[in-house]
Amino acid sequence: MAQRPQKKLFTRKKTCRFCGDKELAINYKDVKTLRNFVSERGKIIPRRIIGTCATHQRQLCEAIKQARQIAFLPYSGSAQG
Amino acid sequence: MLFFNLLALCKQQSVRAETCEGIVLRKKRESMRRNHMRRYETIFILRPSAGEEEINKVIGSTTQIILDEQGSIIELNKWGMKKLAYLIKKESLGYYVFCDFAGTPDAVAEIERKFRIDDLVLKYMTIKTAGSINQEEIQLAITAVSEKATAVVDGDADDTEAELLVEEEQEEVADEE
Repeated sequence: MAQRPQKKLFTRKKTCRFCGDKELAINYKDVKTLRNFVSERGKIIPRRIIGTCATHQRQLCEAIKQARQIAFLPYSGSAQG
Repeated sequence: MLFFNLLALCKQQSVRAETCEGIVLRKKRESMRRNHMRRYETIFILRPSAGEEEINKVIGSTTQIILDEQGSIIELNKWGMKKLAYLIKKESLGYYVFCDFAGTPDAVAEIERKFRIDDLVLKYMTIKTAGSINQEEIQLAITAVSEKATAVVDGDADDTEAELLVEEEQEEVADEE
């Protein structure tokens, strides 16, 4: 790995949002929660920035892709709704 | 000796020699596959220009396919007009219909085939939520849905649910267990 001056720039968040709060369920129909994990351009925000755990990030990605398929979320560009 | 030769012959002609036991097992497997219920969620988007009866026709044919294969509908929900996140076939609005049902994979294939032909249906998506489901779980799900429906009606109206249409169908499903 190349030596970079800022090795630990992104501080690791304490806990994954879904692991901490058991009631938060990842569902492709729940557009409001999903929108928190999608950037302004509609791209999925990486896990290292938000701090979700690997399992939940995978479930999130699947849910976001399903929501995109039925036009709840856009593939790219800001959401018009 | 003779049996061995027969087997060798069959292998040459790439035909499997089927014993009586094999036939029984195969038929049992096929019947199990046909009656095996899985839980699916289907969302389909209809054109905004579709009239009420056309929407009901599409929904009716979909439910008919499910029930023909001895499936059961757990929840049928019309979410109504919504703004699409991107243009689908030049349309920016769509009429969403949600269906949660237990059915066979053949039913799902037939439903999707119908959707592909129909001009009214802009988009559809079917997701499998459970690999196998038996009658008791179906009943539990149906009651859970109806309870949620009454809770919503009694309390404050949820802004996501425009119309609530709950259908309960009881069909005799061959118990595979």
